[in-house]
Amino acid sequence: MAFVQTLLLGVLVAGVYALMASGLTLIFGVMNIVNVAHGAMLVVSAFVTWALWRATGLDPLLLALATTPLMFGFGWLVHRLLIRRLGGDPATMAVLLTFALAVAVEGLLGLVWSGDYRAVTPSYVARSVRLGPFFLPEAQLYAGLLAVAVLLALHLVLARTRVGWAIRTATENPQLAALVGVDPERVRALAFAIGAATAGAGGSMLSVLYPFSPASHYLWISRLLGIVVLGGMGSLPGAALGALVLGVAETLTSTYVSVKWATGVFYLVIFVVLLLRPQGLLGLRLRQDVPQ
Amino acid sequence: MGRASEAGSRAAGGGTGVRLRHAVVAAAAVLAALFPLAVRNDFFLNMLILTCLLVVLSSGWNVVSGYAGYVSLGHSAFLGVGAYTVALLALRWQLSPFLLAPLGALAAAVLAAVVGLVMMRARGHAFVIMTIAFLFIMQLVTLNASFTNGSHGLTLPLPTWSRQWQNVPFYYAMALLAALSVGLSAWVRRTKFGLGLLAIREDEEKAAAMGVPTGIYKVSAFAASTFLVGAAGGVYAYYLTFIDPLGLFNIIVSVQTVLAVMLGGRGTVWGPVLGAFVVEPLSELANTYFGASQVHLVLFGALMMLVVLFLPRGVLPTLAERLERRRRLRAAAAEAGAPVRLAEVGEGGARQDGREGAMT
Repeated sequence: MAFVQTLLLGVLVAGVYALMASGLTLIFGVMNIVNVAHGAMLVVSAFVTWALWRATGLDPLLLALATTPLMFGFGWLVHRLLIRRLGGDPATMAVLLTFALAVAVEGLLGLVWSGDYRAVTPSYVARSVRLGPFFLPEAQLYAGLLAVAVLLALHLVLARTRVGWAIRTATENPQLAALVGVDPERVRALAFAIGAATAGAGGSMLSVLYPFSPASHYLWISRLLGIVVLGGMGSLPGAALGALVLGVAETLTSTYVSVKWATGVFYLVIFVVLLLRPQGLLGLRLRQDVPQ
Repeated sequence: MGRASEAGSRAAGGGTGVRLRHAVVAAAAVLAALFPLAVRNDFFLNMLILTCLLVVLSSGWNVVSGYAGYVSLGHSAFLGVGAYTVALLALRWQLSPFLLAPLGALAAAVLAAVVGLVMMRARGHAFVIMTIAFLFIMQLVTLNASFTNGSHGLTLPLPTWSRQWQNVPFYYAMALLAALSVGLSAWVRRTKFGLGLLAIREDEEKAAAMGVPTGIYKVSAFAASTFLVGAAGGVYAYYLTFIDPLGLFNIIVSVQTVLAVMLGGRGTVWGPVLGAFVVEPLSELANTYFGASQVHLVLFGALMMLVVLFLPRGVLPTLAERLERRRRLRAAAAEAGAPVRLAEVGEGGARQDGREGAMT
C-alpha cells in the first residue's frame, strides 16, 4: 500500500517534470544547444509567480497564463541578443554562455528578491484528495493535470500548426527544411522562445510545489538534464518517459533510502546514460564519440 | 583557429623577444618574493594569495581545456578533493598541512585519471555536462558522508609559526604552486605530449590516425591539470582553517577559473596568468565595495557572456594576431612601395601561419 502511494506521488510529480524538460529537449532538437539556463528560467518564473501572487492574491497556477508569454518574450530576447551571436564551436560555447546567463540571472534575482527561500502557499496547498486508501495532495494533483494539459497543447502546436511543422522539419531534416523555404533563423528563435515559455508555465507550478531560492536553478537543471539525457535529447516522448522514470525513482529514493540522496539519482543518471547509451531511451546522440 | 595565433605569438617572440621575456619573468619572480617583506598589508597579501590560487586553477584548467579542448566546468571539485584529503590526514596524523599537500595533489590526480578514463570517452557539450554532474556528485557525497563531517565542515589545526609572520608563509606556498603550475603548463606546451594535445583539440580523429595515443594523452592531461590544483586545495584549506562542502566544491570557483582563462587566452601559457590577475582582484573589489555575493554572480556571469560572445579567443591571442598582422602589413607595404589591401594580407598570413603551426 505504502509502495503504491509512493508510486502515485512519483507519477504526479513526473507530469510537471515532463513539462519542464520538454522545453530543454525541444531547444536541443532544433538547435543542438543545451540550454543550461533552463533551470534559471524556471526559477525566474517561480519568483515572478510569487511576486504576482503576493500582489494580487490570484491563484499561482492560473498565473501560468502570465508567466508563459512573459518567458516566451524572455526566451526570444535571449536568443536574439546572445545565442544568435555564438560563433566558433557553438555547442560547447553555448553551454558556457547559457551557464553564465544562469549565474547572472541567479545574481539578479538575489539582488531584487534576496537569496532567501520562498514558497507560494495557496489555500489548497496543505489539503489532499482521498482516492480509496490513497491520498493525492491537491497542489500536486492540479499542477500535474495542468502540466499534462500544457504538454498536450504543445504537442498539438507541433503536430498541427505550420509553425510546428517548420520546427519538426528543422529538427528531423535541416537540409530539407532549408530547401522547402523554412527560414532556419526564425525557426530557431521560435523554438528557443517556445522552450522558454514551457519554463514559464513550469516555473509557476514549481512555485507551488517546492520552496525555491535564486540558487535553486542548479538543482533544477540537474534534474532536467537527468530527465532529457535518460529520455534522449531532442525527443518529446523521451522527455515524458524520462520524467516518469526519474520522478518515480526520486520519490522511491527519498522514501526508502534517504531524502538527502534523492538528487544523487539525477547526477548518477546523467553520468551513466551518457556513457552507456548516449542516445538515451528514445533520442538523438548527445555524445560525440571519440575514436578508439 | 587557435593554431594561427600561437604560431604568431611564437614568431613575434623570437630572438631578443625571448631574452626580454625571460628578464620580465625573472623580475616578476624577484618582486613576488620580496613583496610580503616590503609591504605589510593584509588586504593585498590576501588578494595575492587568492590570485596565486586562481593561477594554479586556471593554468591547470588550461592544460586539459585549453590545449586538449575538453572544456570542464567541474575543476573546482579537485580543489575540494585536495582540501579534504589534506584536512582529514592532518587531523588524523597531526602533521602540518604543508607537508601533506603533495598527498592532496596525488589524490586529485588519481581521481582525475579514474574519472577521466570514463568521462573522456565523451566530448563537446556531453563532456561539459558530465563535469558539472561530477562536481555536484562530489559535493553531495562530501555533504552526506560521515567521515567528512557533512555540512558542519572540518576545522584544521592553527598555524604553528610565530604570529608576526601571519599569512606570509601561505603566500610563499601558494606563489610556489602558482610558479610550478605555469612551469608545468609551459613545459607541456613544448613537449610532444603538448603537441599531441593540440592535435586532439583541432581534430581528434586525425590525431588518432596520425598515431597520437589520444586516450593516454587525454587522461594524462586531465591528471596533470588537477595535480597542482589538489596541492593548492591543501594549502587553501590550511589558509581558511575551516572548510565545508558548499565552499570547497563550489561551481563559482570553476566559473572564475574558466573566465580567467577565456579572458587571458585559451591555449596560451600566459593567458591564464593574466586572466587570474584580472579576475581575482576584480572579485576582491566587488567584495569590498558591494559586499553582497549577488553582485559577484552578476559580474562574473555578465563578464563570461561578454567574453564568450565577443572575445572567445582571449586577450593575448587577439593582441598577438593584431600585432602580427600590422607587422606583416608594414613589411608588405615597404616591399611593394604601395598600400596593400588588408584582406589580402590577412588571408595570406593565416595560410602561412597554419603551415608553421603544423610543422612545429
